[in-house]
Amino acid sequence: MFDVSTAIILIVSLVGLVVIGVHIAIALGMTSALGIWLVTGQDWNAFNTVKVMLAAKAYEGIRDYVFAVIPLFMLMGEFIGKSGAITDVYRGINSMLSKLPGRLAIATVFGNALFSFVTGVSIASAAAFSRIAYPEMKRHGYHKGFALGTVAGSSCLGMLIPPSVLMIVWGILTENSIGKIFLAGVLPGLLLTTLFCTYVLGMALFKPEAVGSGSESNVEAEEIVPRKQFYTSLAGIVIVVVAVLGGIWFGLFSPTEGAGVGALLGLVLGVIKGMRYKEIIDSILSVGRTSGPILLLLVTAALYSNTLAMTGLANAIESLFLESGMPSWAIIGVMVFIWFLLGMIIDSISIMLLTAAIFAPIAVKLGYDPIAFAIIGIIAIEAGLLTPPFGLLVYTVKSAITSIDPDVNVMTIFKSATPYWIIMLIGMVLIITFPEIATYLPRVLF
Amino acid sequence: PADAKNITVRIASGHPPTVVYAGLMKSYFQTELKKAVEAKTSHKIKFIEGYSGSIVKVFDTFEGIQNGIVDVGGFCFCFEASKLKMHAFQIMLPFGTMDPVKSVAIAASIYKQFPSLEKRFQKFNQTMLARIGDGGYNIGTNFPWKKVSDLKGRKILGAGLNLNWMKEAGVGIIAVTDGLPGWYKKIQNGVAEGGIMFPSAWGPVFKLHEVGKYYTTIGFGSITWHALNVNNRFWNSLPSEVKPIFKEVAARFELKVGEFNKVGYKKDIDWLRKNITVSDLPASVRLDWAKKLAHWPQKYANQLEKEGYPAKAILNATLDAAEKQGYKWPVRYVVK
Amino acid sequence: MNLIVTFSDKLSKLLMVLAAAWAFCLTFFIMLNISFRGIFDGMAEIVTASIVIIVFLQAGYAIRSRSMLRADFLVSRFPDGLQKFFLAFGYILGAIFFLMIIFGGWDESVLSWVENEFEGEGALRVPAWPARWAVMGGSAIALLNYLVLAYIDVFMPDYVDAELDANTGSEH
Ligand code: NA
Ligand code: NA
Repeated sequence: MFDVSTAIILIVSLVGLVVIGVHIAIALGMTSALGIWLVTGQDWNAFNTVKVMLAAKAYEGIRDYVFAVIPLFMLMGEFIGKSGAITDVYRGINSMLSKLPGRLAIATVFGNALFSFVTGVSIASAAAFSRIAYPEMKRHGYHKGFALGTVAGSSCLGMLIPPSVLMIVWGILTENSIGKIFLAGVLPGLLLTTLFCTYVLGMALFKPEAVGSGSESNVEAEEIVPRKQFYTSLAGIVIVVVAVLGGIWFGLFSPTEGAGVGALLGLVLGVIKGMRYKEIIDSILSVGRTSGPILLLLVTAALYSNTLAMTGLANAIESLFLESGMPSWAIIGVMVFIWFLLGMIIDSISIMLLTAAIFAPIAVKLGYDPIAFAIIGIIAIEAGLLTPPFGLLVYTVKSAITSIDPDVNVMTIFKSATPYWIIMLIGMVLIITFPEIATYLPRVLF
Repeated sequence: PADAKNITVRIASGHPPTVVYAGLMKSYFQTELKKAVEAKTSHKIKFIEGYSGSIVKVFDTFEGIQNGIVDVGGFCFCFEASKLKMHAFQIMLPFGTMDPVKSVAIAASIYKQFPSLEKRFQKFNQTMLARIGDGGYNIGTNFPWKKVSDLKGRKILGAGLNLNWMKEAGVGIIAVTDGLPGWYKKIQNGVAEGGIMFPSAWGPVFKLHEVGKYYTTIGFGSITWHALNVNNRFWNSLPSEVKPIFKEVAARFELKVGEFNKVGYKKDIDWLRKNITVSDLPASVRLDWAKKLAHWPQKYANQLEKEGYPAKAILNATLDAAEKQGYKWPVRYVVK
Repeated sequence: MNLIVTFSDKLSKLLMVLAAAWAFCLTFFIMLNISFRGIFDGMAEIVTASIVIIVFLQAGYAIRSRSMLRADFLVSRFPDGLQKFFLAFGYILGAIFFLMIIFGGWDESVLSWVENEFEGEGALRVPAWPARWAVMGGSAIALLNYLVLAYIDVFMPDYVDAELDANTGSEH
């Protein structure tokens, strides 16, 4: 039976386990086990129910067609990533923009937005792009903090531009259409991209020393991508993304089928770009390694969300919020604050798994559009990873470049990432105020 | 009094309360139970609700009751094709009554004649409280049709055993399967052209009428293939004076869902008539179709008998029970 | 002991490779299904069962290769002894979690085989036992790997993960 002490035990145990570094999946799983035991009688029979429920959810928790989206989209991203197409596009944009001040930073924004569908976790995206883009910006005399802030900021962006594993996970957790969430992300993604680029251009114009005072205008020989190669890569990526998203949006196939098609098209692009047996096998195995932990987390998240309902905790938290008398913007504010707090210690998917099942229904009861709220949630969670003083992304960037540049201070990166963080907050507030930014496209196209 | 208990009931369904039976679990069964228990005994009742799959999904509600994850659950036999094979007996006799009240009454008389049906639930650590009948099935399409042969080559949606109503009749449709929420998009984009569905889903609840402008009342029948079950451990822990109250409220709930679906059927058909083209097929078409399916009950019964179920007796008893309710089968299936 | 570690590492990797290969094969099935709608029924049922199998074939490797997501941000500031204690504690919890899954799922898994349980009706009937046994087997390997990790991280600070190449996975 639900009471306050049960609630406190469950929350404390979950937070405690996460903080002492227990695998998030296990923290979710064992807290659920405790919760089920507490509400089913606290005796030997209750323990049996716990075991059976754990086993049942292990089998049923992700026995759903839609979960196949995750490994398949990751496979697509992996093929495209390993094919070198994204590096081509990044370099190609660089040389095309040779007259533009701050071009490397702008190419980083675009490149990272493209890149981050390769991986579901923006910290992985930030780590990888720290290695791709940072050395070049450094070579061109960029301010180190500005360069790294751009990497950290733009790796959040990719999660907002479909296809994105975060959108998939949100859709699964809250039972909203993944296709609609993909579509809802387009305008906010473009909005943030524009604001990011505007910021970079502004810096380049008014603070040229941040971008190496124009020393980058000479594109060096090894960076230049042959025109044909650039267009092949660009066209390849565009075709894959348009075919997959178009197919889903126009109802030719389900997200799962779209992901399957995407993986095959990605493979074709990879082969055109010269991938052979070994690289293909590498890509497949790489997804085998990276998808497992995420899928396993989803199994335990399903268990956890059922436990929340079973113990009555979800309802209790819901009424706590709804009956608090707070205005709805303040409730959203509390949610965002919790997301920021969590952003200090865990990655975005884990944050989503811990909170979406509780927050999304509350937001809907407050009258927010569920699809718009998905985008608000994704932006807030991503921004949380940038929030000083403990944003996880910034530490990821720092550790990724330690071998290249051990003397960059974490606070320097934070300071430079803060404008991106502010832009994301602005974007979030805009969508809270004008949900149409997110809901317009899904409404028109669905 | 000293022995007054606070009884907490975890009640759940994979379906949202917009689906008739789940809605009535919440608004009728829970309310009436609380009222009755608190009026007749000194105990208090409190519910932890798990609708819309928040504790168990549609296909694992049955197991959830078995394991004590939920105390009381409403679920469809259609998701227990392997554990509750025999319980779908009405599906095996298509073109039965379209009246949910009669459908439930027929089912009740079969359960009475064949206690093995209720006993089967004990094997899964649960006890049946009430049977739940659904609205009658018809066909919605995005094209007009008059004869069975017009359906040839069309892509038709279905779910569970009821796909056999098309397949086994040799209509020549291309069967498409998907969960109900995916139907809209599939029909909108031509991946499917129609589906077997009751009027409430075609109209107000899932809005399929927006993409499929034709609804044809063929009358496949109203099927009683949901149930409201209670976990045995929870059941045994109840004070003895509470159990009969549960049973009594559940019995009223069983009738209530039937009546509600009956009234709802008329209302939803009228609603559809106002919004799209609803055609009533002449009895000859229905007869034609039923003839094509005449071999299927026997075929399915043979298969179940091999697995040890008294399928022949149950199907024959169902045919009789329907006739006792005043229903005339378009084709009197013969199961030997 | 090292023999057990080597054996479990090889097995975990083999299962992960199988799962990855199977996920890759699914793309072709899906493509076939889109190209010839209606001819190849039951795709959804196959994918649905496959996803459970894939997850549990990958579970052991995910654990052993230290790819499971966790928050080490605070812990990494703790003194060494305390870190080890928390690590061991977390690994033991992991082992208990999977042990409970095995005990809790055993009966259903045996029944699924004995009684020929299946999922899906209509388009295609898929037997339930492969996925149920994948859960059992995968959980057993996961359990073993949590014990292996506890052993390595607490007692063998110098151990080099020879059979695993998890780090290559993150380099794109
Ligand atoms: Na993306
Ligand atoms: Na089931």
